[in-house]
This record gives sequence, structure tokens and C-alpha cells, in this order.
Amino acid sequence: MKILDNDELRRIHSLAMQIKTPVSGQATGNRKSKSKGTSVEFSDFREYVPGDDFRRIDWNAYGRFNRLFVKLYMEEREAPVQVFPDISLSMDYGTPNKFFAACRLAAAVSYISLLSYDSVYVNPWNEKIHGTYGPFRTQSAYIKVDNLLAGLKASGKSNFSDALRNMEWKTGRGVSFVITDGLLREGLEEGLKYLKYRNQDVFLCLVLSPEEMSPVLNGAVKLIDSETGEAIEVTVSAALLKRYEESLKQHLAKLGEQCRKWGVHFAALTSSMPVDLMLKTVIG
Amino acid sequence: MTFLTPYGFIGLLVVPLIILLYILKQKRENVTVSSLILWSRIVSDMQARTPWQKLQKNLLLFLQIAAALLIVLALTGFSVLHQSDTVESVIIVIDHSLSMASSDIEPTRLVATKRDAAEYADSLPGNSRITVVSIGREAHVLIYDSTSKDDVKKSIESIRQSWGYVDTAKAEELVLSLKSQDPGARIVLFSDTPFRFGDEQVQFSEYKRRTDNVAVTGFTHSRTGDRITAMTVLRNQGSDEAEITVSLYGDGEFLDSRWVTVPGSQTKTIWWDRIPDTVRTMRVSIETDDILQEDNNAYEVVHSEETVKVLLVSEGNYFLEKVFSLIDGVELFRTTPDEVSYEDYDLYIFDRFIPSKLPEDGNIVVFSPPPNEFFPVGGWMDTPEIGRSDHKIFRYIDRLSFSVGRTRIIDKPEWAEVIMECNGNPIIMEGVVGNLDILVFGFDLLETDLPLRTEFPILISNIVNEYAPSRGAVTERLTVGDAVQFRLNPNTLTAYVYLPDGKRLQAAPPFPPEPFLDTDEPGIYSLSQVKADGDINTYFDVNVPDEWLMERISYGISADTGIEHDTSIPLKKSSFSLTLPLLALAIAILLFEWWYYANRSYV
Repeated sequence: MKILDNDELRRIHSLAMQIKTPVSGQATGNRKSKSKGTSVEFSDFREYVPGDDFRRIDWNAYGRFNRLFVKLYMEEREAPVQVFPDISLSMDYGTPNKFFAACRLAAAVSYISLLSYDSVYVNPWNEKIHGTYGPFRTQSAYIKVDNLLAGLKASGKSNFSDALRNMEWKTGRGVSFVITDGLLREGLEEGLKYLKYRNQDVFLCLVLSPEEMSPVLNGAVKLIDSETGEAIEVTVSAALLKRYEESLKQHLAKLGEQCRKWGVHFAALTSSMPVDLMLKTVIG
Repeated sequence: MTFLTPYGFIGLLVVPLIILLYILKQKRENVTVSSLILWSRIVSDMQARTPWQKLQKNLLLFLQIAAALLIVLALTGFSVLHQSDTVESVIIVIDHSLSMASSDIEPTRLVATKRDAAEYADSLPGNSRITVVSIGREAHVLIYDSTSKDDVKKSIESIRQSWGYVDTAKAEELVLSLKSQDPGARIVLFSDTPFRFGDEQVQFSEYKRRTDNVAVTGFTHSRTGDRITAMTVLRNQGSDEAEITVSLYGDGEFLDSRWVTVPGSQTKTIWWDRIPDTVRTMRVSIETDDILQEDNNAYEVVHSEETVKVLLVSEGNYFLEKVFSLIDGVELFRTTPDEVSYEDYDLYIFDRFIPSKLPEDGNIVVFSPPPNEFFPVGGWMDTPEIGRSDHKIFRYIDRLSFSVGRTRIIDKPEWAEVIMECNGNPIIMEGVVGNLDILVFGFDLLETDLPLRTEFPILISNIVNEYAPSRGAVTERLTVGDAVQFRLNPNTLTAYVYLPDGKRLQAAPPFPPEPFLDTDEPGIYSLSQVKADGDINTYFDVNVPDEWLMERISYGISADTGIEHDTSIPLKKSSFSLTLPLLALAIAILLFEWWYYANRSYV
């Protein structure tokens, strides 16, 4: 089963990622990096030391200063793109399914990253990282990403910080897409901070189902947490639903405010959005 | 208000079921959500913000119970009584006798009766003609054929509690008289007893819930030497056995107390002895509360031990000499008609003789008067026919029958009243000449068999009690409302009566005094006779009657078989069903409950 069909892939083909932060990939790519290397973009001067490529000596500078300087250029490297789809049980909810929407967004992010010659790593997580898949480097590798995402199953509780703590970090500076519903009891904030510590340009993508945005409940019900199995008894009324929606807004506003503080890109999505719209909202 | 279908009250069983539903844990639908983070935050937040959550929860319960009660009331056919549209003529008869003071209906039967009677009058169609009759010892028309409901209600309100029994004969006579004037009139009786008025149909509204009343129905005494013995009769008017405390008071001081058991619908006699002979008035009181307090007390005045001095002026009369010697407290003096002046005696008996100048300090009894200057006396009437009399001198004598050989032909003077006569000729008469009471027997005791009758001593004793002033101005047993004819001392200048509450009323002058009518309160009354040579103070007692017995005797109701309801039908009014308004209100409450449920601010 394909996560994204050809129409959807065509629609997102033209989207280009606007990533401002320099990255530190291993292979040469289309992204600026702090590494100095071969490219057309000037970066700095440095005195010549033996072993430097003498072809890069700036002879004009030598003429003025009578000293040998080497021109340094910004090396264009690939951007290591880390995709963190939340595969906890709480994601397996709603119509359309949040988990499926999260996988579709992960696939779309991966696809446009691969189009930009970036390396893509997929890190499914709940309370731990269920493997770091990648790097996927070429456009043709998308099919592997698609297959990988299609094979994921929702399970377990979610704790982002615990998951990252056990992760074997293979890349340096890069871009991280965290795709979750944000309904974590703990670990999301610490995880995001950890990613910033790892010099990641972080995109937090909250995917919520329409039922979570506007619950369709009535009367006396027993609400059961899909992850923990905990239950709470409530008698649903219009006033209660209003309170819920207000609380959700506050929750999202608080997360957005914290993301702004930490320099994390924040996007609130619903699982009913088309994938290209989700992608535009995220990188917009 | 009434309930047309009282079985609807079975629906009240729903109320505990509703409460049970609130007690039982509510079964809820399981709904899986992605996470409870937001829900638990809301719940804890809202619970913290509503400290009166339980009260609010209970409001739904109360609303449901209120709705259930309204529905039950609707099922019971709850209706309001109201007037019919037909103009009517109504005779409202209200009983205000002693028993209507019973408190088994708050505050008393009479107050409830008056309230309901006024309400009933108000409910009658506008142009109804209403007559209001109060029945008690006397029957009175308070308002006749009135179309003014305000006047009718005022007349009902003016009815005061009386302490006597209902004189059924008078009540029946008056009501039937009113009915005969307006044959279409409806008789509506408000009473605790279903009195009959001939064969007329009566709408009867009964005001009696309980009968547990014990009354003092008899209280008397006798003197033996220096000891007084008293007897009290208690009647249990209820059907259940009653255990009560009875106390005796002498001159207001406590003397004795008894704990007695009176079987249902029976009487109990209590004897009190060792009562000091210094006691002048006694009161016996039932200390245990019952529904009628007014009949729990009885009063008795101890007769004066003062000796009555009687002067017999006669040529010789063995019968009179003998009979006076039999009466306690009488000191008899004898003399012959040749005496010139008569004074210092309480009672003068002139046998076949009248002096030319009457004594001034004592009353007079004359047997076979010769011609005299005080009233015309002629020849003789042979073998007059002796009739019957209810005069006080014949008290305690039921069927006195005697024969007289001949009697004086007397031309009745203006001052005299005939007690017994034959063909217009007074055989026995009495009257007042000056300040003296004179009793005249037209016949000679030696020419009749009266002295041979067993009732003769009773007759003479009654005469002494009635005509000897020092024996007390009142000798008969009085019940409240009775008129009292005082026999004052001939030398009395002024006489006052002190009521039990201390209020003083003047009884004389005029002389002879008018009948004293202010005996509306049971208790000890005092008569004070002011004379030039000193005052005479005497007491007399007024008690409530044994209404229970009197009404049964006069009405022919058997205590054993209960009260007859032959001609009585329940008082009924048209009713307006409140079913629809009640159901509408119940629906309104349920709608409000739904709205409240949907907009509540708690979980």
C-alpha cells in the first residue's frame, strides 16, 4: 500500500523547503553548511598553510598585501532530515485516522527532502525509538520510505524525551520533523529542547483528529484513555464541550508560545487536511 | 380541595424509585479517546470551581421528585371545590355547644366549623338566600334569608362558644319552622353530632376526629359531723380506657389527688373524705389533658351549717312538727296564733292563721289561710283535682299524687303566681309582699293525705331551702347559662354578684331582683347582700352540663349503637379538576430540568 498516491506526490513535487539553518551532513548536497569546501559561494579568507589547495590562493590579495591568502567557500552539503512520526496508540484515533495522517505527512516531508538531495532518516517513536531508518538519499529511495511508513503500526505509550534518550544519534546539525498529536503526558518539551541542543531546526507538527477538535459526545459516558486504559466518568453537556474546546485552544496556544520561545516551528494540523495543505502549513 | 381518585397516591411509590436511581451507580457508555489529558484537566478545574456541586446535582433530583408528585396529584384527581351555578336557599345550622370546644380539630371544632361555614357560604351562588341558625341550649336565627354574603359571614363570625348542650327540641322546632317557610331550602348542619330535624334531609359536615374525652359529670358533697365527704362522677366519653389524674381543691388549696382508670364509655365514681369542715368551696379537676378541657373541672359550694330558725304558728299540727324535726339544720319553734309580734325567725309557718301584721325579717308559708287583708279568701272548694307542677318546691319529686278533701277559694292577688290550681282557683300560689316571699297552700294539711306520702319530707325540705334566706340565696344546681332567681334576705339593701373572674355585677335593687343571667362561665360565684346590720356573703356554683348524656337522653341516641346517620348526607360541592394544570406544570418542570441538564456547568 502506498502512503501517498501519484496525484499527491505530483502536487507536492513543486514545493521547496525553506530551511534557514545551516546543516552538517556528510555528503555534498544543496544546503549551505558551516563546512568550508568547494562551492561558488564565498565564505572567508585564510592565510595559506602548506597542504592547502594552491588553486584557491587569492592572487589579488597577495598583490596588495604580499601575503598568501586562501579563499574559503561555503561548502554545500546535504541536509540530514530527521522525521519523527509518533506511533503511540493515541495516534490511532479519529476519522480520518491521525496515525495515517501523520504517516502521510512524514512521507511528504521525506519526499520533498529527497527531491532536494537531502538525506532522510525516519525515526518512529512512542516511548522509545523503534529504529532509525536511513539515510535515504535519492529520490528513488522514496519508495523505501513509503514502504517503511506503510509498515508501521500504532502501539504503546508516548514519551518523546525517553525515546530520544535511547536514540543513537548519527547526524549533526540538521532538520527534525516531529509529527505527533501533542497529547503527551510528559516528555514532549524535554524532547524538543534536546533536539535544539542537537542543533536541529525543529518542526513540531501537531496532528489532531476532527473528533478531538470538536468531540461528538453526549450524556453520561466513561472516557477511556487509549494509551493507559485509565477512565474518567463525565456527563457531557454543551457547557462541558465548550470548556473542552477552550482547554484545547489553550493547550495549543501554550505549545505554540513555548515553540516560539525555543525557536521551534509549530504547526497545528487536522487529520482531515489534504497532505499538500498539511505540508504547506508546516513549511509555509 | 378533594381527591377524586385517591388510588392515584399509589404513584408515590415512584418517588423512592427516583431516589434509588440516584443512589444506584449510573451505568455509562464506554468511549475510548486518544488521551485523557485535556478531559481530566477540565474535570478537576470544574470540580474545583463548583463547591456546591452536590447541591446542584440534587437539584435535578428535586425537580424530578416535584414533577413526579405533580403527576401523582394529577392521577389522584386533585380538585378544588367550588360553587355551583344554581341559586339556592340554604339554612346553615351551626352547633356551638360545649363539645364544639374540643381541640381534636385545631384550634377547636367551633372555629373550624365557623371557618368552613363561612367558606361554604362564600362558595354559594351569588344570589343564594342564606339563613344562619346557631344551636345550643337555645336556638337563634342570626340572619334570615340574606343575599349578602358579607352579612352572613359576619353573623357566622359572631357565634361564640357556649357551655351547654344542644336542646334538640328547640333546635328542631326552629329549623323546621324556617324550613316550613321556605320548603325548597337546604339544611346544612355543621356540628359534631348528626342531629335530625324531623324527616328533613340534612347535609351534614361532621367535625369530630377523636372522642377521647373524660368529663366530670357530677360533683356533690354531704356533711357528717365535722367531716365533709364529696362524691365525683367521671364519664369517659371515648371508647378506649382512660387513665387520668383527678385532684380535689378546697378554697383554692390542694386537698387530695387520685390516679383512676375509667373504662371506655362508662362512668367512674370517686369518693373524697377527710375534707376539713372549714372548706366553703371545692373544685375537682382532671389534671390529664384531653380534647375538651372545659368539662375537666366541677365546682361545689359547701352548704352553710347555720341553723335555720322556723316558727310554726298553729293550734297544733303533728305532721308539721314531726316533719321539721326530721330536717337537719332546722330549729323549730312552736307558738299559738295569739302571739302579737313575730320577729327573729328565718321562716314563719302559719297554719290556718294569718296575723294582721306580717313579720318583716322572714319569709312566710301559709296553710289553709282564713280571710285576711292581704288577699281575698272565700269559702271552700271540695275535693279539688290535684294536677302536677314543676315548681322548685316539687324538685326531686317525680310523680307526687295526693288527695285534698277541700281547699280555700282564693281570689288570686296581683302579686301572686299560681303554682297549682283547680278550675282557676289557686291551690298553691306564691308571691312577694313587700320584701317577703309568701307561699300559700289553700288546703289544710289535716284534710289531705299529703303528710302520709313519702315525698312529704322532701316537699317541706324544698320549702325550707327555698324560703329560708339564711340557707343561701341559691339552692338549685346551676349549669352555665341558667337564669338564677335570688331569694334575698328581706332586709337586704343592695346585692352584688361576683363572677368567677372577680367581676362585680349588681343584682338588686330592684326588688324583687330580676333573674340573674350572667352565668356563662363555670365556677364559683359569690352573692353579697348588703344590709344595715352587716353583709351576708353566700356562694353558689355553676357547672357545665353533662352534654354527652343530655344529648343522648333528649335525642334518643344510644351510646352503645353509636350515632345514627339516617338523614344525613355528606356535604359536597362541585369540584374543578386540576389534572391538566398539574400535568402542564409537571411538563414545565421536566422541560426546565432538561434545559438545566443541558446547560449545567458541572460534570
